[in-house]
Amino acid sequence: MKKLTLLIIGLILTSSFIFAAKNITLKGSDTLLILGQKWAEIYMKKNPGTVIQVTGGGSGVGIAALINGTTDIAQASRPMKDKEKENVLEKRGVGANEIPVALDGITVYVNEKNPVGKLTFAQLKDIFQAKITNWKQVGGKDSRIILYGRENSSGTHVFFKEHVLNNEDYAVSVQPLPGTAAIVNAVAQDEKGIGYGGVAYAKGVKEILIAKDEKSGYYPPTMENIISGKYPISRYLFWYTAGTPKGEVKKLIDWILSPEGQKLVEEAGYFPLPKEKSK
Amino acid sequence: MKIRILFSLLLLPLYFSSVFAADTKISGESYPFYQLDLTNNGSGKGYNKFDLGRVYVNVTSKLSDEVSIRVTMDVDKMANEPRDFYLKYAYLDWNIEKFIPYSTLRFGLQSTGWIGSMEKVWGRRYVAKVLLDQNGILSSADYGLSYNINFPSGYGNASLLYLQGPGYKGKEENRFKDISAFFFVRPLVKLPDFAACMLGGYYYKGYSDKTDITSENNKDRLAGMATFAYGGIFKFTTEYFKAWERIDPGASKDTEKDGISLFGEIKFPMAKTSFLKKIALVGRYDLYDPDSDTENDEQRYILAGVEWEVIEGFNLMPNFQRTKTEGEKTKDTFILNALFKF
Repeated sequence: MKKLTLLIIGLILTSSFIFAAKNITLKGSDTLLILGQKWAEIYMKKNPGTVIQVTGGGSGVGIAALINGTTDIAQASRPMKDKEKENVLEKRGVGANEIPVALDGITVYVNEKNPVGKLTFAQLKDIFQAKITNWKQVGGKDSRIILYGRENSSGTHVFFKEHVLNNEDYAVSVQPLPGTAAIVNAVAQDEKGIGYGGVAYAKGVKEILIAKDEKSGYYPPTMENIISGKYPISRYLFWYTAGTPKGEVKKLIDWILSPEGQKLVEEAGYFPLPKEKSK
Repeated sequence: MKIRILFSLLLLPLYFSSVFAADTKISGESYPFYQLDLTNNGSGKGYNKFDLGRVYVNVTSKLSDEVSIRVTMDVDKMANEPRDFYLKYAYLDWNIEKFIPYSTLRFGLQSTGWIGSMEKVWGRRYVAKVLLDQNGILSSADYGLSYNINFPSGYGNASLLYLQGPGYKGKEENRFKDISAFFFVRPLVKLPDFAACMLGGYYYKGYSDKTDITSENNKDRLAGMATFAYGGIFKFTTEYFKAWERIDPGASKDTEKDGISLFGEIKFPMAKTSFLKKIALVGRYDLYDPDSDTENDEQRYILAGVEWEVIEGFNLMPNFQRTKTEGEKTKDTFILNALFKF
C-alpha cells in the first residue's frame, strides 16, 4: 500500500513539471474563423513560444471538440445549450466557461445587381420558409429566389432559425453551404441568390437593410444600430473553455479582451464588446 | 432457442434503423476483462481467465420534438455460465414542457434512477457496480411510470417514480407497487471549476416481491450522496444508504442493512502530454453491513487502479480489488478491465 501511495505522489509531482502547455487549439464557428486567425497571428508574433492552431467546422463541431477534450477553446456564434453544458460537465468534470468575445450583426446578403435593398423581419422569415418565392413579391425583378444557408452544425444556422424563423423549420429548398465565405461567394455569383452570415464577410455582395416591422425604419448592421437595438439580428460571439481558463489559455483570453485584442475585432469587421464586457 | 432470440434482439436495431433512419441512433458498450486471482478465491491462487462482464445495445429514436423511445438489450455473459439476456430498458419519454416547464414523463421499463445516476458519478460501471447494485439492495431498472424534472441552468434534477417492485429481471407477485423519489443538485454549477460538486438524496418505499404479503412486508431504502470536485483534477464522492426489509410473509421484524461507499479520482487535465491527460488514478472503499443485528458480518471492498482512455470509446483499467468478509479469508484479485463503446 505504501508503494502505491509513493507511486501516486510521484506521478502527481512528475506531471506538475510538465504542465503549462504552450500549444493552444481553437476550433468551431466559421463566423469567428477569420477573427480567431487574426488574433492567433498577432498573439503568436508577440509571444514567439506559443503556437495557436485555429480551425473551423461550425460552432457545433467546436463544442463537440470541447466536450471530447480535443480543443482548448471552442469558438461559437451561439450560446451553448444546456445539454451541451451537461455533456462538458459529465465528460470533463468541470463546467463550461462562457466568454463573450465580440458582437456581430447577422447580415443578409444579396447579389450587387439585385435591386432589392431592404426587407422587413417578417419578409425575411417568409423568404427562408419559401412562403415568398419570387423577388417581385418584395419589390424586385420577376425571378425565382435562390436560398443559401448553413449546415446544422453551424451556430449561425441555429441563431437564424431561433431568432428570425421563430424556431420554425427552414424551407427544404435552402442550399446548405459549408461556411459563410461559401455563402458570400455563391450570392456574389447568383443574381437570384440570398444568404446570411457574419457582418465581417459582407464583401462583394449587397447588405440588406432590415426593419423590425413595416412601421419601423430600415437599418444596416452597424455598431450604433446594434447597440441601440434598431438592427434586430445581432448576437454575441463566444469562446468556451472547460473550467476556468488557466496558464497560457488565460493569458490569451485576457489579451483578446484587452483594448489591443478588441481593436483587432474592429479591424476584422466585427464589433468590439461594450466596455462593461471587455477588460 | 435462446441463441435465436438473442440474435433477433441484436438485429432489432438494424430493423429500427431502417424504419426511422433519420432520427434513430444505435449505440452500445461491452465490458471484457482479464482476471488473475492473487489469493485462493475458490478456484485456487493463480487462477486466471478472460471473460466478458456485460454487453448493452441501445436503440434510441426521436419520434417528434416531444416524444422519444429507448430500447436497451442487456447481455449478461460469463464464459463459464449459460448466457443470459434481458430487455433492460424499453420506455417512451414524453416531453411535457409545454404544460409543465422542464418536465418529462417516462412510461415503460426504465431506470430506477438512483443507481443509474450514481453510475454516472462513479463513471466506471465496466469495472464495478455501485454500492446499492453491488450488494443487491436495489434493481437498476423496473417497470413503471415516472415524472422527471431538470432544473434550469444545470442546477440538477429530480424524479418521482411509481414502480412494479421486483425489477427488470423479476415478475409481479402481489398487488403492491413501490414509490420512490430522488433529487440531485449542483449548487456550484455557475463556478466552472466546482460545477461537478453535487448533493443527492433518495427514498424508496417498497414491498416484498413475494406472494401473500401484507403492507408490513416492506422493502424501504434511504440513501444520500455528496461529491466534492475541483477543476476536473479531482473528484471525491461518498454514498451512504440504509435499508429496512421484512421480506417473508409472517416475519415479525425488519432486517436493517446499511453501507457506505467512498470513491475518488485524480486526473491531470493540464498535463502537456496527451497520454497523461487521458490517465485517472482511481480508488474506492465500500463497507456493507447486511444485518445490523448480526455481529461480525461486515463486508469490505477496496479497489485501486489506473484508468487510461486510449481513444474515445475505448478505456483500459488495470486494477487491484480486495474483498473481505469478517471471519473469512481476504480475496485479492488483479483485473484488467476494458470498455468498448460504439
